Amino acid sequence: MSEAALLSVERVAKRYAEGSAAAVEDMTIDVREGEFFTLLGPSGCGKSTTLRLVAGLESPDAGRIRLAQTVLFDAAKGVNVQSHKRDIAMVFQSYAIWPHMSVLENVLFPLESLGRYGRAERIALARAALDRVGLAQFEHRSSTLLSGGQQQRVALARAIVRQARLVLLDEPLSNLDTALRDQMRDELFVLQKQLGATVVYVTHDQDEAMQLSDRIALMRSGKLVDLGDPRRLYLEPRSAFGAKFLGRTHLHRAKVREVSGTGSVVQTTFGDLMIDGVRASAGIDMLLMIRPEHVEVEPQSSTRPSANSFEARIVSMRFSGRTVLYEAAIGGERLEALTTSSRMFEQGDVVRLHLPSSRCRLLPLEDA
Amino acid sequence: MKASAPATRRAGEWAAGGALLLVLGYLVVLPLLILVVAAFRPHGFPFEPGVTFAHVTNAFLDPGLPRLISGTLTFAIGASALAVMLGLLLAFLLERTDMPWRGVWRAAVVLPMAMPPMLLGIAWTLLLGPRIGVFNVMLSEWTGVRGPFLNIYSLSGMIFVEGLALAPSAYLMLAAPVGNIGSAMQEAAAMSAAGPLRRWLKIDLPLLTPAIAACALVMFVAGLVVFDIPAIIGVPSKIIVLSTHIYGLAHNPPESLPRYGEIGALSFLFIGLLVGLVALYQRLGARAQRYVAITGRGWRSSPVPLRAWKYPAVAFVILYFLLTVAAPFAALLWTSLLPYQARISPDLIGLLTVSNHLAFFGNARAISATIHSLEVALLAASAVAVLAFLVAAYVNRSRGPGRRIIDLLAAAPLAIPGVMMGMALIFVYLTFDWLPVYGTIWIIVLAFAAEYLPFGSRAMNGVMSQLHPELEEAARMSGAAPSRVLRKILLPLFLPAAMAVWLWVFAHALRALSAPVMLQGRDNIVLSTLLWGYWNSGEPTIAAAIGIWLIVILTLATIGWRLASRRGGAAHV
Amino acid sequence: MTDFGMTRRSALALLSTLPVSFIGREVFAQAIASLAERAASEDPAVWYESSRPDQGDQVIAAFAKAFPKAKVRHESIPGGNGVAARVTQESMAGARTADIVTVGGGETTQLLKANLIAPQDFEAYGLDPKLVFSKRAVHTAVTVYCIVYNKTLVKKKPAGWDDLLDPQYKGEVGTWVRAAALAELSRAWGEDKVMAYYNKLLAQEPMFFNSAAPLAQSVAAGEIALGLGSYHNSLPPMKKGAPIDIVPLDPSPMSSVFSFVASKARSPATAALFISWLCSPAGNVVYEEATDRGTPLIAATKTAKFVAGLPTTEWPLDNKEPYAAIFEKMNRMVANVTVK
Repeated sequence: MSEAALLSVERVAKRYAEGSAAAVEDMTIDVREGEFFTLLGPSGCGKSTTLRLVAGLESPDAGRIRLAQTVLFDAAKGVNVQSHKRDIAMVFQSYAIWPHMSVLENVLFPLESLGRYGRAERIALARAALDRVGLAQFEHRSSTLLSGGQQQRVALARAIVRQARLVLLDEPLSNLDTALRDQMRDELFVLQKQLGATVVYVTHDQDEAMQLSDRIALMRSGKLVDLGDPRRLYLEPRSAFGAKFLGRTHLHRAKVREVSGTGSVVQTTFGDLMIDGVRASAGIDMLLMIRPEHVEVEPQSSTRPSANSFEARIVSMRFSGRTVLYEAAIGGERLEALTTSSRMFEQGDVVRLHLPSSRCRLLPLEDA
Repeated sequence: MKASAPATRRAGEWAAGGALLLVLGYLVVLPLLILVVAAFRPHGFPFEPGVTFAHVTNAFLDPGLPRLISGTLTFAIGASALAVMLGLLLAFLLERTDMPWRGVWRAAVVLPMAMPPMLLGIAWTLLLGPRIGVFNVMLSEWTGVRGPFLNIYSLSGMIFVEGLALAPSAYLMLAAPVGNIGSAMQEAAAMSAAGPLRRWLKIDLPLLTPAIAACALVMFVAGLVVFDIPAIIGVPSKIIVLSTHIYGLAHNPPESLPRYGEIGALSFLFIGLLVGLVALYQRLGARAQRYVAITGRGWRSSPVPLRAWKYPAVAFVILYFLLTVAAPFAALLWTSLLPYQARISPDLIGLLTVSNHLAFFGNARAISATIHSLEVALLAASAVAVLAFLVAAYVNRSRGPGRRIIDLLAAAPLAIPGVMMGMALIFVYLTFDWLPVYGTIWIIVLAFAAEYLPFGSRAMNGVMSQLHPELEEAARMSGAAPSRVLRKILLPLFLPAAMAVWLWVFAHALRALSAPVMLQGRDNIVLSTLLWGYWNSGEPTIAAAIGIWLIVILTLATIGWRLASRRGGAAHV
Repeated sequence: MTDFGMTRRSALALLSTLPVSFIGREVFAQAIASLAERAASEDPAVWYESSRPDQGDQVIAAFAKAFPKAKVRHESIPGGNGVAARVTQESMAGARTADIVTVGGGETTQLLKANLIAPQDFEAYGLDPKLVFSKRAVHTAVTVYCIVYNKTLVKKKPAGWDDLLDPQYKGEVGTWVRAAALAELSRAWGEDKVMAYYNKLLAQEPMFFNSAAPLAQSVAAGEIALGLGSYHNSLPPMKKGAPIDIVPLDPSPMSSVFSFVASKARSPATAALFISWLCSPAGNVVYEEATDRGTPLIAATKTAKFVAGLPTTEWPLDNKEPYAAIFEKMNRMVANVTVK
């Protein structure tokens, strides 16, 4: 456990009913002060459960949870601090705006519950929080008359007003329409940086996760699969699942032929490939991963060196303005390539596809 | 140190579940058990020695039984069908069309609930009696033919009045689902070139099927157990249903002693019915809610234009109020102003007197009955509101044990006739004399608490399932302790619904007859039993005067209930 | 002791109409006074009876005036068999039950058999021996069955039993659900004749009533033209001016009502005192005033005047078995009347 961690979750497990599959198993994560930390994964992977365990809305069956110097939960010692005594704020997926209170009353509630400050100061703080989320003029509005985006902002104001050590966000953007979601995502990003708040964020949307997060914990079936910054997770995934979950990708069976200091040579159905980095020993079967946007498309006449370069015929193309998605055939194999529209090919053209060795990865076969 | 928090929470849930099971067992299971035991005792007293199967064979080999059952079924099916049809038509007209004065009709549509079924029955015997009924008299005068045209003392007469009595409840159950059908589906259908009628038949009705089925089932069960209307209309023409048969076995047995054993044996019939119906009802209820959940987020669709149909529509709604409120009330008012029962006729205006009403206010017994009625209604309403809240909270919000059983037990009294429940309670509290409720208002409160719990827990379940658990969790994550969450979040959000349940039970407890008439004793004469007493002892005019004042109280309660449920959203039957 | 003096005066007043010597009266007065003294220290006695609460209250008020120290509460239970059932039920469960019970002959027989009636020396309290059955049940009132008819609907005043079978009134005849009248009639007519009559009556498609009181009201309203009702139940609408009248029958069936002290009574002295008062001329007149029924065995009652000279018929309390058998048979017939 890193001592610098603000939140540390240690070997936490949760099972909702006897005999059922574990919702969360052997979960260990550290969240640093000021970090935007995201729990990412498909629905049912245990990310929301992990968040609720941190919040104290569910109790783990095993493990330890610590926030700064305070032990929140320790199964071995029988410690379990109740939700309302944890210095943690939370924004819910449904926003959970209390319909019987005005906007201002909603935001005042945490301060009143905690018994902090005098009345005038509370109101000032609540107004400041509303101002931050751009709802200053809505404070007396009945909360039942708010749009989805406005409810979202009230929920955010309610979470930041109490200045908790940690803010938990449970899929806060999933109920918004696309345009509003993009806008709120940007606002959220700015807000977190301005406040310097430590955030644990739950989402199933990989774009959202990559744009917002300092680090991402990728989860699957209750287990942590990968943990790292967005770039690492996207470019150097550790599993086929991780590769596919974070973006469109090719996976081809490949056999490792030689391993040298600079890279390896693998054999695929469309030819041999050089790959940077060494991750495996010769002779084993693995998966070759390359993302469509990393496949370079060049005219047949290209004079590039022939390593990792293959002749192919464009089978179809999909033009979408900024980008073009090609489907190309190399012998019996199909490969997708995503390029900008600066140079374009037509269906039936014969081209050369270049697969950069730095962007080709080898992944273990087991969970293909 | 091993007592970790999860374990404590689990222990708390077990304790809560156990406590609820005990309370429901006491209210619901114990009385039924007593009835079953009584069926096997020589004189039908559960605690006498000896065992006999004679009552069971008597009850079930009775050659009259098949006719009794088929009569009861015909009555219940007929009345529930009429109620559902009226309710559905009203819901469609008031929730989905551009009918004139919709706001007024919607506000007034539950007023018939203020008319106790017993009084509705009495009133209709005055309106449609074969010889004195106003309609028959008028028809006779017009046609010159003597003789009953429409005879209220018939199976169809009973079905007609019971259908009218149940119609407001059917409307309340159907109004929300009918009004909530999402616009997306409507518009999709319109884009498929479907006309309004076709849309209604092909899209709305199939979508509404679960809600209609659940409503029909509740109405059917209500028809199976109802006592007052069959007692007032059926008995004089010897059309006996199960509830009046049970009352007869207790009060007019062939021999001098009531046939408790046979009543106990007949309880098997209801227990069997109950198990099947409650299971079916719960399945239908769950499905109906799923449909509502899907469509709940949609926009309200634009009203169906009635055009020339608005005249028959308005005529229909006016007729509904005429049949359920205006005409019966007028008949009762007329009777209450007479010295003895007589037909409604201008010739008799000279006889009118307010002495029955004056007697009501000057009668110490009537005053004490009014106070008892209010006490009973107040206590029963509070008990049901609290218990239903606890049941709904436990069933919806905990992971404790026995949630399904608790849910079922809370729904079970739906299928137990009040007359039978009353008898069972007499046995229970005669035996448990350490709890001195026998012959007091408390025994009626207990009967009502069980009788109205299914309504209460259903309404509370509805509200609870609409309230997102995150509303409570957000409060906890705002640093609010559990007591503060309860005080500041749950209670304010539940109060309107709890108020609506409270007032509904209050109104029904004021008007109910079947349980109090069985439990009538030393200090617990309530308005409905007093009224029944006057009616049966040949003072129909005094009974009518009491009825008028009972309707006045009920109207106030009904208006209050309507206002509370407006604020509380969907707290429907 | 002024209280004792008061009770004595009440007792003497009670006995003033008895045809006994002054010395005899003194003896009874002593007995009643000591009974009243015992009653004063008892809990209120509970009286199960099937009149309406307000009627019961009227009777209790008069009793309280006569014996202010003795407390009786009236409890209205629908139907005589309801009363009997309640007493049986409560006695079997060992719960508190009535002290004073007033029910019909059939129920009295049942309760006697079940040993739920306490013996009391009513004659010692000055009650007419004619009223007292086997030191237990005291004759309190009678239901006299008669024809009640609507004077505007029935042009020719009915004469007797045959008028109820007149085909012109088919569907317009009323009768009580319980065939008590005909069961009593069987003593005079014999079972076969009564059964034949009842079958003809059922063929009239009569309207059935839970008691003879609503029957009289329906006759008054004109819903039915005439019916087999009872004297005391027809009086209230008649007094209020309803266009109805009653016709005595030949013979007139009659059902007696008895009062007694329950064997499980917790206030037996109050109970005995109350019954001694209720069935004395003074008390019975009050009872009749409230409920329109009294016992013909007390000359001061209106019932006595109505019954005087009538050929009445009734199964006596010590021979109720034939009554019960026929009664049950007839009730089963009613239960099986086909529903249209």
